[in-house]
Amino acid sequence: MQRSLMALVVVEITGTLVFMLKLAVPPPAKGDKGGITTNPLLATARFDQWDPLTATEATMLASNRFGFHPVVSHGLSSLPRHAVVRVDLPASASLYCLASAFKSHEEIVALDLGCKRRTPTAMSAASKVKYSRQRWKQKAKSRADDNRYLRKELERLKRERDAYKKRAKQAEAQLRVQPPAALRPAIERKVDLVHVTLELFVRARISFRAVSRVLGVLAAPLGLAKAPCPQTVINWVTRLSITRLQQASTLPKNLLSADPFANGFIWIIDISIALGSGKLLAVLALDARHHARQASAPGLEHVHP
Amino acid sequence: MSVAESWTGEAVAEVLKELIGTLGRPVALLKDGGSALAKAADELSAEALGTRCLDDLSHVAANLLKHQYVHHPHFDTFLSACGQVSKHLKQSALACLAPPKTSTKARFMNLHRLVKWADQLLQHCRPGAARAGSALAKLRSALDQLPTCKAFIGLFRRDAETLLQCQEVLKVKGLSEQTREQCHQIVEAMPPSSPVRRGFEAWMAKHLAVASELGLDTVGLPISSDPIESLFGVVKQRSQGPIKDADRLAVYLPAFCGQRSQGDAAHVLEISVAQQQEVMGTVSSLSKQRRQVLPRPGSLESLFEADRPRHVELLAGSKNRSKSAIVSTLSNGYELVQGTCSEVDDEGTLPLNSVLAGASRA
Repeated sequence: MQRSLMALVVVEITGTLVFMLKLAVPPPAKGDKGGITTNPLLATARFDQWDPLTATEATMLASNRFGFHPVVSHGLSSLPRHAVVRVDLPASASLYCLASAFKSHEEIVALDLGCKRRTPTAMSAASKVKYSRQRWKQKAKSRADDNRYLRKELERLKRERDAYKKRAKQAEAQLRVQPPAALRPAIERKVDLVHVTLELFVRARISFRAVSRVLGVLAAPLGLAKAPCPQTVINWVTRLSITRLQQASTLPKNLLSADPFANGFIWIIDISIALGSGKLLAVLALDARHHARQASAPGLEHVHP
Repeated sequence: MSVAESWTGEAVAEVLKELIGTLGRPVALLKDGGSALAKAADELSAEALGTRCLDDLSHVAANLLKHQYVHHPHFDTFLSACGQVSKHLKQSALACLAPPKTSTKARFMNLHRLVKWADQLLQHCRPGAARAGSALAKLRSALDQLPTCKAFIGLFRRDAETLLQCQEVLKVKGLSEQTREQCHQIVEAMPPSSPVRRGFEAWMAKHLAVASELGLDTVGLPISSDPIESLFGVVKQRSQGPIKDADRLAVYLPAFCGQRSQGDAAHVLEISVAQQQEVMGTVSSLSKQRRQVLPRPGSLESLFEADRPRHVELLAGSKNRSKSAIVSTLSNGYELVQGTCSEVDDEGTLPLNSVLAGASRA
């Protein structure tokens, strides 16, 4: 094995700066024949970056971040190979840098600071194995995490699917028992039809014929086979009047303590005229304590015939 | 509801007596200023069936304004000018400024709308010259004698709007000590010597005494007959056909009262055709008479035959008291009933009112 270069460099340490000199022939492809060294592997680095036991390969290849370029002077490149450069150091200097022998000028320079010298090839293999093992562990851990998440998601989706299937079965069973509300007629009983008709006439205050027309228009949505004719509406309103008069004698009486002989109502009396010879006398009953029960002025809904 | 050719005090009193026999004596009678109704109340009092009488607030306010302004020198001028302005504006580019329609009947109940319109219209006529052909010039030419009534308009609007504010308070909350205080503050806008103000305060004092007597001076005494006026209006508007005869109106009147429920609808279906015929069968509507008489010359006399159908009479309960589900006892005043109670030993035969009175004494 031919050793292309063996150099022992004694570097003067001032503060934390380490100056390294590469006494090697620059690579013919990249380098300038003039002798400026550009191989980053030979560049300056912290010493801990080169510990094969603690540093990984990536760390070794990283920059030293000290902020200076590994450039030496042109003058040094002219030194003959196998030369020894000695630099006189003061007594306080305790740092010695060793530049080991390499097969070629491209091999890594291992620097050791007062430690036992190790062979670069043995450290690299151990590091690689360890690094590979760590990466494998990280990948396995990440893969296990993914699998665990997916397994949980699958379980959740299965639970939800089962719940939906159960509800769908229940809904189907319910549909078999009774038809949907949309298909059921809104007015099923005649009482409801009478109630709607009376509300249209009395509350919406539309005419008898208009009530019949409105119910005719809404017959399909309301589920009516046939809308009541105007005469039917007249009959129902007339019968409502008769019902009101029948109910008048059963009105609950709120007797006043100040007048226990009275029925508790104020009678509103008025006479009105219309076409013809007849004059109409009307008497309405209003609860004497109306304002104690209602916050509004008395209206038609508060009086009784 | 009852229809008759005419309603005298006696006739009204008869109907009220019949109702009192079925439903009991009312706490009070709330009526407008009609003389027949006042006479009926007197008739009832003469027969020891009398009760308190309340005068409707709206009619009282309208009467106060009427007594104050009907003889005002500018009142007739104002009405005439409004008619002229309406004639000039309705077929012009200023038609949007035409006066509102007001009823000539019960004129003072809605005259404030016309007065307010006139006041607003006069605000457009600022003093100063107007360019010939301009809108202001056209408006001035259409105003007739309206600007001369400015004093009447100002006075009437002040009094009418004050009374309207009081009516709003009293109709919603009833007459009580609290609302009387509110109204006193509102009528401060009128001078103390104003007959309108004095009349209104006298009405409040009189009716507040009735409210105190009934124990309603804290909760509020209803003093508005608006529901019955509204009922007449609604029924006349919504009744069947273009011919509004009183008999048909009377049939539909009760249907508009109270709130309707499913139970009412069920009762409607329970009413038989025979029951309906009993009420409506003998009623002869004007439409029916028209169909019978108009195309047949020589049948006019049928309208005056003695056996022609009677008018409608829909009174609560049965005429025969023994058929009525609830029979109320007529009380001839507290002293008479108190004497009767002391004489009667069997409590089961005591009328309901007497039992309550006895319990309250105990």
